[in-house]
Amino acid sequence: MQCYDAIIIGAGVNGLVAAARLSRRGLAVLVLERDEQLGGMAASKNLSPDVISPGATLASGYIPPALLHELDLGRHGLRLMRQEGGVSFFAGEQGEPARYVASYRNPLAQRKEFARLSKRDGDAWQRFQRDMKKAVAAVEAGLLHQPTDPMARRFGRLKEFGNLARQAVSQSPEHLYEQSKLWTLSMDDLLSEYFVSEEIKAHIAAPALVGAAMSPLAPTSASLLVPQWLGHQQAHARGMPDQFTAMGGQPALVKALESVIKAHQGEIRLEAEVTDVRLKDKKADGVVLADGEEISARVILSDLDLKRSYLNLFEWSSLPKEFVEDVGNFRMEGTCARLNLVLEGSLTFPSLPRGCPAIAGGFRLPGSLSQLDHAFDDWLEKMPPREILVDASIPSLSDPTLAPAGQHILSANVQYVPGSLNVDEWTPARRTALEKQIVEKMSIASPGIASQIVASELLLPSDLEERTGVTKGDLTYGQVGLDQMFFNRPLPNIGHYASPVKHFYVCSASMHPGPMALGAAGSNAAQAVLHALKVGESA
Amino acid sequence: MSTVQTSDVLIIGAGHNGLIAAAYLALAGYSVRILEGQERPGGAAVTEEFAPDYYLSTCAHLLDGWSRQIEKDLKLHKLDFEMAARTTMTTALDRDGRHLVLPAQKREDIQLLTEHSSADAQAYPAFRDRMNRFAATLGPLLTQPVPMFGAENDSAASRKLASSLAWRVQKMSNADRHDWLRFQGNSIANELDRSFESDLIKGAIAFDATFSHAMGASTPGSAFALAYKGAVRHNSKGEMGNPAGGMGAFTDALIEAASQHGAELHTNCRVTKLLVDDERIAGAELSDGTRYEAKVVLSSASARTTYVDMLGPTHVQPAMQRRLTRIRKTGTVAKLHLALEGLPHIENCAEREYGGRMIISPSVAHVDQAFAACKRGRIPDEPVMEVFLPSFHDYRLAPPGHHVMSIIVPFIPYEVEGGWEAQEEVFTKRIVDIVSTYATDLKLKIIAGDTLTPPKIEKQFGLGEGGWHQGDMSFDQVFAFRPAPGLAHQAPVEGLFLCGAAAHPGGGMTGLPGKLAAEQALSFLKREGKDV
Repeated sequence: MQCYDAIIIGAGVNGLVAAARLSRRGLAVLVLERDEQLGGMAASKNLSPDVISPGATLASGYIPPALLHELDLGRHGLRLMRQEGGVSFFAGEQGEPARYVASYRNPLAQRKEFARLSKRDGDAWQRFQRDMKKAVAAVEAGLLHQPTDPMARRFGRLKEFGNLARQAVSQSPEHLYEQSKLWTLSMDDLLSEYFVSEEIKAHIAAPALVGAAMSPLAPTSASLLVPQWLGHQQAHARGMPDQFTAMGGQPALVKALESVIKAHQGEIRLEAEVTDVRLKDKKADGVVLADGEEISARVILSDLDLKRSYLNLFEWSSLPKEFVEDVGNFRMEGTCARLNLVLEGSLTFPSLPRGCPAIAGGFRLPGSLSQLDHAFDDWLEKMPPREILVDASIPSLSDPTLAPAGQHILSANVQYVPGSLNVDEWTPARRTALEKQIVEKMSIASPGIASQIVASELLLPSDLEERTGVTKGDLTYGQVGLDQMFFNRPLPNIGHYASPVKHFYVCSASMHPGPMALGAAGSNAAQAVLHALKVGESA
Repeated sequence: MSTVQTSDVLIIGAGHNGLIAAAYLALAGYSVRILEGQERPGGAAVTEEFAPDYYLSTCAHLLDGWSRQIEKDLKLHKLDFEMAARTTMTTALDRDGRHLVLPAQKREDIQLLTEHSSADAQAYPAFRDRMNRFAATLGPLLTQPVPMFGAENDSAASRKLASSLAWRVQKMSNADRHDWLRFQGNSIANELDRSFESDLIKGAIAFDATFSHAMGASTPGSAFALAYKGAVRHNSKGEMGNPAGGMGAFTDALIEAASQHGAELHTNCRVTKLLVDDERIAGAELSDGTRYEAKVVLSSASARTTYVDMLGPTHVQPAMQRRLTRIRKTGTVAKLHLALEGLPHIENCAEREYGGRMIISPSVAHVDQAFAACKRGRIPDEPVMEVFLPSFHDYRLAPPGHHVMSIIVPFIPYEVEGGWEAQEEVFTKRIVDIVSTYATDLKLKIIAGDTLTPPKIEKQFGLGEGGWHQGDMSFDQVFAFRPAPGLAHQAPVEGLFLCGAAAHPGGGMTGLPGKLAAEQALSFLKREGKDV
C-alpha cells in the first residue's frame, strides 16, 4: 500500500499553500477535498447560468510577498493587481444626494478627499498612515513565523523575563503608549486621536470589522485595523493601504496553487471526504475516508478549523481531556451574511464623480460607528439586524471574465447577522426581509440597483457553515480578539503548530496569523512539518 | 481684593483621598491646608439623614479594598473609628430562593452551587483560586508608585519592581501563565462561559467585573477589570468594611487624623486656578480671588479639571489637552435609598447574608442589555443592582427595629431619554418592583425613599457627570497610563500632584491614591529642602 509523506485534509487556500510548499520540497503529497472543486471558502459556485459567484471570503486578500516568491506563483499564472480602496456611502438628509468618502491610491488625491470633509482630517491622514505603517511593521515581520510564547518556562528564563520587564520600564511612557494603543484602544478611540469626521472614521473602520464579533467601540478593536496595512511597505504606496491581490480573486490563486502542486507531482483528489484520522500508538499515521478507504501518510495536515479538526476527526477519548475542553471553548462566531447578486447593466453611482477609480475597490454602507455599536448589541442578543454594515465588491469590474457582457456580479458581506435568532428562526420570510433590507441599503449608493437584479443568493452564517464546513460560518476561522491572536492563537499553550497528537497539524486560519494574510497559516504549518521531518533547505 | 495665605502644602478637595494625603503630610510635620469646594467635606464618603431619623451613606456605601496599612499609619482606631462589620459577604440573589454566596469559600456555600449546577460547583473552586492567584500577582503593583519610566529614570526602585513582578509571574504555574495571557484581553462573558453553565453565577461575577465600568460583560477587557478588582481586594485581604455610623464617620475620622497634626480644612472654597511661578507650582486661587500660596499642591480633582481647567493651556500642550479630554469615563450609576419599618423578608436568606451585599444580576445577558440600554440613554428594562442593608450591623442608622436600604444601580445614563425629571419616578418604581420580587414584603415596609439620579450625584458629590472614578480603570488607563500616557509620573508643572481617583491605582475606597501621592509629595519636599 502506498504511503504518502503528507496528506492534507481540505483544499482551502491554506491547505493548498501547505501542499504546494511540501511538494516543492520533494515530499509525496496528497490533498483530499470533500467538495467537487478546490478552494474551500474560496470555491466559486454557479450563481446563474454563465455566472460564477465568488466564494465566501473576507475582503482582505493580502498574500505575503515572501510566499508568492517562494512558491513561484507568477510562473504558474498568478497575476497581481493593486486593490483599489473603495468608497463609503452615507444616506443624504431629506432628499439630498448621498454623501461619500473615497479612498484613492494617489496620496494627494487622498488628502484632498479627506480635506473635503474636514480640513484637519486631510492633515491627520498623513500622521495616521505614518503611525499605522510603523505599528504593523513588527506584525508583518512575524506573519510567516511561529509566534514566540512570552510565557514559556525555560531554564534561565527568569532573568530573560526580568530583562524584558526592565526594557519595558526603560521606555518612555509616551513610546510605550504609541506601541500599545493599537492593541488596547477601541477603533473609535484610536481613529478619534486623528480624525474628527464621523464619516471618515466609519469609512476606515468598516472593512476592518467584517467577520469580527466586536463592536468598533469595544476596547482592543483597534487591532482589527492591522490587516489593512499589511503589505504597505512593499507596495511603496503612499495612498490608502493598497495591497496587491490576485487578479481574478481567490479562484485565480487557487488555480495557481493547484498548478504548483501538480507540477511537483502532488496529487489532488476531489469528492474525498475524510471522516477520521487513523492513530497508531497515539500517533497519526493515516486517514479514513467516508467510503471506508484508508490512506497512510507520515504526517497529516488539516485545513479544517480547529474545532472540526479535533472534534470531528478524532475520538475524543484519544485526546487529553483538558485539550478537548479548550478546543470546545475556542471562540468561533458567525457574524456575517453574504449576498451575491447578478446585475443586468452596469451600476451607477450618481453622487460619485464620473470615472472615480476608487469604486473598483467596492463600496460600503457603514452608517456611523455608534450605529455599528448598536448593530453589534443586537447581534449579541441574537436579534435580526436593525442596522447593517454592507461591504460590497464588484469583482467583475476588474475581471470582466467573471460575468457575460452586459452583466455584473456583486457580492456583499453583511454584518452583524446572528447565526441563530433568540426567539424565532431564520424563516424564508425573514430571509427575504433581510435581503430586501440589504438591497434597500445598497440603493443609497446606487438607487436603481433593485431593478437590475437578475439573480440573487443570500447566505446566512448557517448556510456558510453548511457550504464550507467552517464552524458557525465564522469567516475568520476563530474570532480575532487579543485572546485568540498571536501567541494565543489558537490556544495559549499550543500556539506552535504542534498538537497533542504526534504527526498531526492544523494548517487552517485557526492558526497564527489567522485571517490576517492569505496562506500564511498554511505556510507556517508546512514549515513546522518540514522541521519535524528534518527536510533540509536544499531538498 | 485678594488676600494671600501661605502653607507648605495645599490640598484641593476633601474627599477621602485628599484627607488621607493631608493626614500623611501633616503627620510628617508640614503645614497643610485643605480646600473643599462643597459645603461639606467627605466627597463620596458621607452619611446623610435622607429621611427624618434615617441615616445612610448616600454615595459610596462600603469600604471595598480599603487599605489596612493606612488605618494603622493614621492610627484611626484611636479616633473612635470602628467598623460595624469588617467582612461583608456577597450574595447573588435568586428568584427561586437558591441564593449563592460569593466568593464561596466554605464547603456549604459550594454545596449551594450544586443546586444550580453540579458542574459549576466543581468548577468554582478552580476559578476562585485562579482569580486569587492573579490577584496576588497583580496586587503588589497597586500599593506602590508606578515605577519611573524612561531610560534616564532606570532607578533601583523600578528595577526592583520589574524583577519582583518577573518573579511572581514565573512562580505561576504553566497553565496559569497561559490562562493569564488569554484572560487579560478577553471579555468576562467569554471567560465565564469557559468555566460555568448556570446563569446566576455568571451573572453575579459579570456584575462584579463590570460594576461602575463603562463596559458590558461581553466587552473585551472586562475580564481584566475583574482581575484588577481582585487585586484591589487582595490588598485588603478581601475585606469590605462597613464603618459604624456610615461613611461619614469614616470621613470624620480622617478629618480628625489630619487636623490633630495641624491640617486646616476650609470648606466652600472652590479653586478655579492654579498659580504657577517659573514652571513650578506656587499655589491656588479661589473663585473669589483669594490666593493660597504653597510649595506643593495635591489635587483630588480629575486630571482634566486639574490640568486643563485649573492649570490652563499655557502649561499643557494641545496634544496633551486633547488626550486629557478623551479620557474614557467610568460608568454612571444611580442610587435609591429606602427607609423601612422592619427587615424585609427575603426567602431563604440567612442572617449573614442580610448583613452583606446582595447582587441582583440574573444572567450575563442582563448585564449586557443594561449596558446597551445605558449607552443609548435609556433606563434598562431590568437593571442589575447591588442591594445593601447597612443598618443590619449598625443600630445608629435607623430607629430600633427599623432599617435603611441602600441600592446602587449601575448602567443608568447621565442623560436619559425623556429627561430625568420625568424618568426619575419610572426609575424608582422599576427598582422597587424588581427588589420586591426578591423581598416580597418590601413595599409594605417602605416609609420613605430618596432617589439619586446620575445628575444629582454629580451635583451633590462633585463627581463629574456622575462617574465615580475620574477615568475608567480599563487596561489602557491604569498603571503607567493613568491618568493619561505621559502624565502618570509628572504633572505639567513641578510640585503638583494628583491625589484622587485619577491617580494610580485609581478609583474606589482604597485610599491608596492619597497615600501614594502624599509619599511622592514628601520626597519632593525633602529634595527641595536639601537644595535650599
